Amino acid sequence: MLEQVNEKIDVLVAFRKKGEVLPLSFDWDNRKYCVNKVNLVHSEKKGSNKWYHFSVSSNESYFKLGFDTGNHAWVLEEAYLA
Amino acid sequence: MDSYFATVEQQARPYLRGKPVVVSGKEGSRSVIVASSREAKRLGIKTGMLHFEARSIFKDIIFVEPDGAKYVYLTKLFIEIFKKFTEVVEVFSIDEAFLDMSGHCKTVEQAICSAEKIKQEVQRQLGSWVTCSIGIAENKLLSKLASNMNKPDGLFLIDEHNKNSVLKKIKLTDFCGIGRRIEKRLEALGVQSVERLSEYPLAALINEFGPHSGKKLFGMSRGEDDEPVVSYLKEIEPKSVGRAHTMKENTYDKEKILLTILHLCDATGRELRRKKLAGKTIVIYWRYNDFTYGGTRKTFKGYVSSGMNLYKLSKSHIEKYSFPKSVRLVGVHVSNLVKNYKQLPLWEDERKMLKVLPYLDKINDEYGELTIKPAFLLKQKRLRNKVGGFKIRD
Repeated sequence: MLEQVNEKIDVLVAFRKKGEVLPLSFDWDNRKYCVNKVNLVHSEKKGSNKWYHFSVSSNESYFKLGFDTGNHAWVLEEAYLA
Repeated sequence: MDSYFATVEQQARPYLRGKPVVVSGKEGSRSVIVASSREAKRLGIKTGMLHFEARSIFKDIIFVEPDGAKYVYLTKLFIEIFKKFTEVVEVFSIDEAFLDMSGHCKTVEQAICSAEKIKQEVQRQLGSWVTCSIGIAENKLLSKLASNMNKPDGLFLIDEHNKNSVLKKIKLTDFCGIGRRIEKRLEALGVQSVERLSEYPLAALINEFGPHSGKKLFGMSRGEDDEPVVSYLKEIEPKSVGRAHTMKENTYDKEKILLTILHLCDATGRELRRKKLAGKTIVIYWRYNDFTYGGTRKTFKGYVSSGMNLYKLSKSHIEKYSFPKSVRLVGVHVSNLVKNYKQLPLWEDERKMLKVLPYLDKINDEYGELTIKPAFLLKQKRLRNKVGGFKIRD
């Protein structure tokens, strides 16, 4: 079932020379999740801050990671655990 | 784009792929389905259906709430793709565009080749699950028809070889611009097919539908359309500006209705000012619980672009009104528009408001709608952002 999480998390990220930002793995609920695929990226303004949302797969599970460019904080927004 | 919102959600969330999914408000809410995935469409679940209708067709249908920011972002992405092929791109809706390729393709083969490259680029940038269907023809009417011929992931050409056979096969409502209301009126004239429409005299169509629509219908039946592709750079001035909102529950409560109208007037006023427009005619309308409509319309002596003024004008009407049935939806729209209206109001408090409004708009643009708001709206939450009515904004 899809779960709304909205918790701050630690994320390991690659900054690539083409300007892409690629989340590689993150820690949540005492577990490390490796990002196998970034399925979609989109951005929006929330208040005065720009957010980037990464819809990613970790094996069969799905996670939506949000990056708040104003606070430089990563948030696990939603999760679907297979 | 094919089943746009639904396929975008399936692209983002792989666990939804291959399953019947609909994009809609929360299950149990009063919203309708705004998009069905290919799998849901195959089951007969269509846009515009209510939740219980979808469930009655397939009990395990998956409901996904819309994410407007996601769709708008991807729409801007695919428009940028189209702009690489031609500068004449008309954004028809959040998931459709017309491209005038006449300056770039000399032959049909070149047009087909460009279309295939566009499809590949859309999948490369938006994701492998997101597909588009392209129609190629000599005008917008036929290219729109063609784009619906071979969905999903389709590519269809209408030219002089197959135009007549295509027109013979389609229904009247397959034309963009002919909905159920016009279809019923045509049926009442004994016109139930495109072929019959092509045989109907032009003078009689003009008599029934007026000179503009009559000629348009006449042309449609022959696959004729001389409307140019209007580049997104030349935004057509709107004929009206407005907002509507479905209430959480049907209500007779005038205070709740007026509060919603105030919010809609505030949002409409902001939109007018953003487009540097002011309007003279205001329409407040509502839909009752039985889906019939009511409303009131007034044209004023002066032009208005302030939400509060729109509200004061509408309030005076609504307060006297007695709703015979409970109200499900309320809307506001302003027409009879003029651009760059600069006449100063007579009264001092209105002149003060006019000075302050641009700053209020800036704050709300930066921090979100209703960051600063009239005191009456203090407890009002932001009405859900529209998913329809897409506008390109840089």
